[in-house]
Amino acid sequence: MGNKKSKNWHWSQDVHALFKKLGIEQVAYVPDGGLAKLINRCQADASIRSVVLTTEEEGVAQMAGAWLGGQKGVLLTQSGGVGNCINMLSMMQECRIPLLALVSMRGEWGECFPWQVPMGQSTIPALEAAKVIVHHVDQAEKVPETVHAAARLAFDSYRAVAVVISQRISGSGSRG
Amino acid sequence: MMKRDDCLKSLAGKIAQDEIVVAAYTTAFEWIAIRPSPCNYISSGAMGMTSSHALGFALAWPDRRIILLDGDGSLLMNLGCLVTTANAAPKNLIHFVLENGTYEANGGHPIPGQNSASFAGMAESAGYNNCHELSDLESFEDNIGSILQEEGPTFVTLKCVPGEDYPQDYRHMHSAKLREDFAEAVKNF
Repeated sequence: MGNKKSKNWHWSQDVHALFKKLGIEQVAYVPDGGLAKLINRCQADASIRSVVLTTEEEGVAQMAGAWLGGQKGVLLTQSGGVGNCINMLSMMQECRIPLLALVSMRGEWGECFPWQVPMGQSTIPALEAAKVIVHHVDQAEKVPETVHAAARLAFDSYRAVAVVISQRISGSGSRG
Repeated sequence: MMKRDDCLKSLAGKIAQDEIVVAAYTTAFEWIAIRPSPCNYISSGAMGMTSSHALGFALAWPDRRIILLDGDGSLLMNLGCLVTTANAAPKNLIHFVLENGTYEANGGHPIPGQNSASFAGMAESAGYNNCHELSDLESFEDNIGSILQEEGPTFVTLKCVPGEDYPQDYRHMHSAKLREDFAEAVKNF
């Protein structure tokens, strides 16, 4: 990882492969353009149970149930969904239940939709206020290694960890 | 209308001691008194999320029956879970809602939709495999055996009123021992 990638390479390839290596068996998500390729890969993988949610907070609780049931999972959410998770994140802190979340950013790099900006700018402070450890990444090549490090921190050190993927990478909501 | 603790006692008599029961709030206090077991998964944190805990657990253990004891106020706070759960379609999940029409743990005020909203109707629309509504102990006892045999996800509204008072021992409910006992029980599945 981190070497020169082929023209068609997308970070979701390596992250999906990493999920397999880590033994991720549940993925919960609310659809988002910045995560669409990763969601597609997970959905196409019979060894991963993909669950589409109605709101992101469900996914935090589902990850708790999965962990207590002996499985590792990942929550995939847009930054807007972080605001929906705050109350449930308290349990991850209180019970030291691991949480690995991939958060695709809106409301930052080149955002052209003003309503996304307030929540986007509140995303990292809100996560940190809820005692979620944040790894921010703004280069596609570094997403896989960042997810790997976050997964170790989450599952080996029993922490809630969010990999916040910059809008610089996804380009979502940015005019060219 | 049946008393909640009578209903829970009847249910406890119909399931095995090692069945996973995920219980919320007031019902959780009563359930752990009525059926003490390391297999009680207590969810009393973020309101509404008990159903989502149960979904994650049910997907992790597809060969074990998971019994969810949800509250009506809790379900209202996470109504979307009905669609999420129906869509994920865990065959091993039975979702009970103990409907007393109030936010009992928070002052006893009525829930919105008291006496008008149909939770079983919502679950049916969401796509649960089986939906039932039971409001007296006799019909509960007549039907619970066959309900427990159904292929899930199954939804059951239990219309009830509070029965006896049970101790609300937060220290016990949140003790490290209960957590360790649960972890040990799951490890031995």
